[in-house]
Amino acid sequence: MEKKRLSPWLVFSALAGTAFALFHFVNTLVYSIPELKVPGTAKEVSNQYMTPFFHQGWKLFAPDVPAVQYSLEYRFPEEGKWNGWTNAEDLPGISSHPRVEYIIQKMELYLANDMRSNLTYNPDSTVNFDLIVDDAPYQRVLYYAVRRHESIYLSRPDSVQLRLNLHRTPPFDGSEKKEDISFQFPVYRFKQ
Amino acid sequence: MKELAIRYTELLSEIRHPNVMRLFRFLAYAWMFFNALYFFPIRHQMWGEYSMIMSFHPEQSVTINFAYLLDHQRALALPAFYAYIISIALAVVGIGGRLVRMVVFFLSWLLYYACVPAFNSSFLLFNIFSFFLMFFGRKGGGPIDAIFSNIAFWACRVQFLLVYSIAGGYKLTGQTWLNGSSLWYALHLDHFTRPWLLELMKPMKGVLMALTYFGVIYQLVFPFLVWFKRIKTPLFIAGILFHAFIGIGMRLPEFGLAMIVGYSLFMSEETAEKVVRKLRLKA
Repeated sequence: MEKKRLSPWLVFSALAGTAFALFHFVNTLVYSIPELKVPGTAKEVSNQYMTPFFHQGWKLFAPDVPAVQYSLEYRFPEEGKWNGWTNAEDLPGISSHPRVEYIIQKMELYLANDMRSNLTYNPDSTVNFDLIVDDAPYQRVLYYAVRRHESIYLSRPDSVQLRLNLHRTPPFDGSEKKEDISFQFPVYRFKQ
Repeated sequence: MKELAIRYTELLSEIRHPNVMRLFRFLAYAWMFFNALYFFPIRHQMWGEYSMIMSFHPEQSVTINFAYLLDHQRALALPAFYAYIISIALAVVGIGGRLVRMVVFFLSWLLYYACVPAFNSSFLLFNIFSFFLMFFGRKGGGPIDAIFSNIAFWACRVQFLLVYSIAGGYKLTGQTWLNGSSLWYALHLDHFTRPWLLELMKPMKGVLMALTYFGVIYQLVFPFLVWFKRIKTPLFIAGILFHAFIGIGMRLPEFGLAMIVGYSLFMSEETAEKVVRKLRLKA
């Protein structure tokens, strides 16, 4: 049987396509597993290549499932007095879509991660939020709380205060559950 | 070396899994379509001019600026979302070819960056799939078409296996997966669990441990076992049950469905042909 002749262009396409696929997956590995010991340049190339259009991360519930969960509350003044704390995780009268809660909890998680790296303590052992309140995760939850308030009450309060609560899960081994913690952020005043 | 390159090209220049590719393309776009519909009721809260999500301005570069286009131009976000739904619908029925698939790819990323906290990794996986799907051709489309189709098809497979391998590998570096307590903690996370399931499973610590170990072992062995014909069917059944549990029990339906759709990449050509014929899918 006579062998079909392949054009060099076809061979080039096959090899170039495969080389690109290899390049892509090497970068995928370097990007998705930041712990891989590769030269800094390789990490830089991979970051440049993977973001924004191949961004990915496969760490859901890994390395550990969190043993803590968060809830966000806010309060605002009315007639010179602070109102009670309002749960910010729902949009009553606007939407009962389950994804709303998911979005807010994700923003709480970003904030908690930021606090883990940037929260500091004053000499008198009180919490210092200076680094946190300038960061995007805090700005996001603040923006959300204000938008929520505006959507529900059709008005903007002159100031607002947020509180992030950390609820600990009872340990699997039956040992005593640690106490829940609350972080009360500084009051945010809108410019008049 | 030259001979090897020629043989490799010959191998690639014919589409060997046309029905598997057709089925996967259909299921992937169908998943994206239903996922988009899921977000439809909260489109204003996500992408509207008065969105609940604050605009985010990361470091400046041409590609990053392009990716955040809808975040910068809120007025365009909702029209883009409608265009996205229409283009996926066209892709599902196979109208518009590569141009429509390219529109789906770009719009899905632009919508993602305009509302990052709304999405989980299943959306990212399908955005990546949608890149490779742009290269899927059809049988009889010529050797160049076949070469890129085959490479894209294998890329989808590799990407899917990487999800399991990386997720499984990371779990081995933690404590809760190794001591069997992960499911216990996952079930206590309000936004994932269903209260009835938590109450039902709370006293069954042994079952929770067994399911935890099953989850991590499944992710680690899937990339190896999926290549064995005899094991494939029980492996898929176990996976479907596993992901159905995650989907229903842990309120991550789109993630569970996404992984089940991914299994179609590993179906045999014969089975895929039967399904394609039943669904009357276009080439």
